[in-house]
Amino acid sequence: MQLEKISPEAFEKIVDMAAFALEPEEKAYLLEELNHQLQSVQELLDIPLEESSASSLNKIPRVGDAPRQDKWQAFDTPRGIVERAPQNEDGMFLVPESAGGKDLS
Amino acid sequence: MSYTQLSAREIAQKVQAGELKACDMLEASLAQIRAVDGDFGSLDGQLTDPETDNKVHAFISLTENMAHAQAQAVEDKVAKGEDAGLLAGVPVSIKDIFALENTVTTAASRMLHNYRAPYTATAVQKLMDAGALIVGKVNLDEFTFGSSNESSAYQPASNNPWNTAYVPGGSSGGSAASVAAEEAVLSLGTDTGGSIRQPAAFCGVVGMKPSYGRVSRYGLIAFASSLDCPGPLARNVEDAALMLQVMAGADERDESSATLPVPNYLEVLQQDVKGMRIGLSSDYTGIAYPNHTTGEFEVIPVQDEIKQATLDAAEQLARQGAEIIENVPMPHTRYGIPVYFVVSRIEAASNLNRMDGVKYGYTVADARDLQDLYTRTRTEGFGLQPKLRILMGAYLSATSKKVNYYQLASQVRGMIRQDFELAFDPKGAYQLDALLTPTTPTTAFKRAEIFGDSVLMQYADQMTVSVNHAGLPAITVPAGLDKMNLPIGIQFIANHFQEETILRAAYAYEQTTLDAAWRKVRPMALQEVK
Amino acid sequence: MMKDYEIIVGLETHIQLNTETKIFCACKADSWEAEPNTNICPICTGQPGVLPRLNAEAVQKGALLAAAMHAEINPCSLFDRKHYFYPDLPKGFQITQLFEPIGKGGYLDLYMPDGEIKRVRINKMHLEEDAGKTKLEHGQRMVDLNRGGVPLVEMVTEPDLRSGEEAAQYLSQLRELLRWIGVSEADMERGHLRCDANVSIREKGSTVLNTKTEIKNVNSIDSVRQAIIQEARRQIELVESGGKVEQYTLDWDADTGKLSMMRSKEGEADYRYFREPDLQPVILSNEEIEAIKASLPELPYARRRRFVEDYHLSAYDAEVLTSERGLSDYFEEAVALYAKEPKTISNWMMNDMIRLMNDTGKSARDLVLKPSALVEIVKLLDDGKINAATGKSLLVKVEQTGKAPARIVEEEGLGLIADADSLRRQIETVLAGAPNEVAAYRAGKESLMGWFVGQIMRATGGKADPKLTREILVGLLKE
Repeated sequence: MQLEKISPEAFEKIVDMAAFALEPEEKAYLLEELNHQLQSVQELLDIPLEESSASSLNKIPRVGDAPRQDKWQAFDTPRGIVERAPQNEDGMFLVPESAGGKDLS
Repeated sequence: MSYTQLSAREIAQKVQAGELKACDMLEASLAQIRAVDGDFGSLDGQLTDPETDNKVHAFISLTENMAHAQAQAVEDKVAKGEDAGLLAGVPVSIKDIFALENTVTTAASRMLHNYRAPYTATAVQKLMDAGALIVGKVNLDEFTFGSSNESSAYQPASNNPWNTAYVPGGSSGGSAASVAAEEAVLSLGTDTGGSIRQPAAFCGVVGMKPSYGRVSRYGLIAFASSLDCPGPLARNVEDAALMLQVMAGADERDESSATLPVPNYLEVLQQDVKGMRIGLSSDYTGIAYPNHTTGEFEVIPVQDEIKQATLDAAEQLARQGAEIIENVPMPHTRYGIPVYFVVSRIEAASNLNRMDGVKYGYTVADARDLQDLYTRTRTEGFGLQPKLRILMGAYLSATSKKVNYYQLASQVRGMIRQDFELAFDPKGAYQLDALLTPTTPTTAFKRAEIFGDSVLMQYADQMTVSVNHAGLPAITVPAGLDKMNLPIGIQFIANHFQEETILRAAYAYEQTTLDAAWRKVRPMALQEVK
Repeated sequence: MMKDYEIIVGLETHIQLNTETKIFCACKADSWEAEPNTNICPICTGQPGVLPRLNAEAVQKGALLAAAMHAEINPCSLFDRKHYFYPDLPKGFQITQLFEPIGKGGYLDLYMPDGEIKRVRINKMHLEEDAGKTKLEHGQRMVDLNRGGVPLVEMVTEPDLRSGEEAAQYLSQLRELLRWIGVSEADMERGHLRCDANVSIREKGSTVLNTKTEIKNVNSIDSVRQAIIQEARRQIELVESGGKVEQYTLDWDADTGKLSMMRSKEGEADYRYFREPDLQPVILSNEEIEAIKASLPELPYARRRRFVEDYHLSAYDAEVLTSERGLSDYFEEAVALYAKEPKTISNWMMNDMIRLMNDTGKSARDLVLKPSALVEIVKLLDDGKINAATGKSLLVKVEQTGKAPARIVEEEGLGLIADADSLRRQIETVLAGAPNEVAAYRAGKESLMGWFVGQIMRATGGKADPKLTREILVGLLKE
């Protein structure tokens, strides 16, 4: 299967998805590099994949199962976390409104 | 001889014995930094002129106050006759990608230029608990994306102490440079595709990537979650083993950390390599690289001196009693980089989604609306290399794709892992204990020589990246200098959680080189400092 | 003119599990009362370098819910990342389960008021983390991450519901089930159970599924009913007048009872799902799965039916006594200890016990007055050792003091006077003091019997055994 190069339109979509606003020279450089990298990724598509039983998971030996017990432990400085926010007031994070006015989810 | 030339083990012993004061050790380290480092990397810093710049520039910031307090605490313990720790009084530099409470962790990016973590990474905490002195944060490729340290937003970025017109490698460039330049005795780096081993090889120091899960990742700002490994850089194998001893072990804050018991690495070092089966593979004598002008794949052979050093090392080990097995096939090595492009980019793009200007770090103060906040923060906060990775990750993971790239790459990753499993299988055709390969295809390259060509830069990691895909342990040790007096590194790879095996092999090899002529050559940046 | 339309409804619910801690960190799961951003830590605020740690109890409760919904418990479920940017989502992605969720398939049988049983199939059921909250205040949008990371089960039905009423029943019975098996408090006012409704219409007889709209934030049972009825009506009117239903997201305003357009669902975000690399697969062994299934209690409907069939309770009584699991357990235990007519116990429960619980604000499980004590009181009454009024007051006294009923009776002398001789003497005294009434009775005014009994009760402080009293009175008055 032949990988298609990333078209300028498709590129605009991923720039949007990544929340970037790029200068023309940056766009040109990035798009070119992406397409070069895609040529390399092309290799993977050409591999005849027998139903590979090989596990892709890292083997993490865990002696016994140690799931986290459901016990509360307070973090000692929650206020400090809020105060690291560039915009915060009275213990709340502040953000501007959405352009569309309502939330996205 | 300056204290900064002592090994970590010697320092800890002398400090514990009261022969060396931790505060004096710290002073020596700081003095060395002042003598050789030059300007630290900063956001408004400039690139230097390779023709005239002979400084190392390994550091982004010092943590002097913290280090003084730690040194004092060590001295107090020693005075009371208490155990001051395995690394008592040893100066350590930390790649600026680890959270350390009360310091700024920049990730070498404008995005986190003012980020003070509210907690400390487990690996760093363990070093501190063992009496280490944290002297400062060293430079890296921005968010660990790179193999030369050049993409750092904090300029001047590190130079290679052996020749300051050359790169130290990356992404743990500052780590390797600070150790090679005797500014720190040990450094904590990270290895995702070779980011400890490649710069360690370029800078003529020992660098180790432990098995995935051997050292906790909690507090390491993630690049690729399924590949990242914190690890030690040091000037000899024993010191690397010592540092690993301190850091290894399960962490309840990291589900991917192994609960396997930690052996005594220092003990095994003394064991010889008689009967150890060490393999060589022709798949590691060149890199298969896509030429985008011709569209063809070429195989570029490994630099001759490096190939020779690898064979010489095999010979030395054979003389020590090891069995050398040649032509071990590792056929899927050539897919290491394409798989890396997919897995690491998708994971990296995802991990960086949290950088949005709301909770911490860089932000734009006059955003029109939420979308503007996100877009401008991320555009201005991230450098070009992070942008490239994020875009690639976004593209490859977009749902509209006909192919599920992550799944495909994961499958091929399994095939790479299988190459190693077959090689190490105790009932298989090769029954290896370790694989011996060059660490890098070339010695250090000149600054600006490759930067910008993202594919060629990435392919420089082909000898190291498969190890990350398989989650195995590997170590690089200095094996000589090329005709430019640039360091050569060779790599030992072993099966999961067989750090002891590669430490033994590396140590045994290292011992045979102690009197070598190349060991007497000093890095260029240190030649003025007596 | 009006064609016959069918309303097609699917419900998407988010259920907040009542674990002690959040799903991936050790902060509290319930912080309703807390000041903003006080129940947070580096993990649930998405600091660089942190890692999630899965809460074992969240898995157990998720699996139990799957069992209660007749779904298959997945022996190896996985977590995935769902990416989008929003201030209440600190990591820029939500950890959820797309490819291998904790539960597969399943259904909920609704017991409709008309006796029909309606099966609602489940399309998906998975674990995920909650987002924080944002609110608008003084023109500023503020973010509180206290709720971020709370464990949720998202459960989505197939479009099997056919009316606002059915949807309301589903929500109501789901809520009851969640509380019954103890996986969620399901208090809709506290957001423990949140609901979105998907609504479409089609002509009766058609099997096609038409474009649906999504109504968000219908967070009460009444709202679900109203919103769906309204939206269905809107769609029918639209189609009847030649329009086409567009795929909109609508917001339900509970205060005004009105629906408003939020945004078009066209061009949905690309969530770029992939496997969460920081979490291990969630493995449940066969033994663990069997244990979870075995721990499932008898569910409300089955218990209600059994109370009617085995204990001969009325449907109403059965319903009240199974309105809460602790209450029904209490009832069963009392019935077993009493070993006589269950109806007696149910009467006590329905009237006095429920009043006691209301007065003390306690649930059945929290009462000091245990089923054994209740049964003891009822038996004392059966044996004629106390009268009914004493019995009622004993409930309160036992609850307050924790002492055994018999002991209180003894200490406070509450026992009925059953000694015939002493009672006869007391009655004679009373009669001696009321000669006119005695004469009137003997002259034929038999209604005065009640008055005599009353006087004797007063004189004995209510402790005279009523039966014996009447016997002796009749005997004495006949003379």
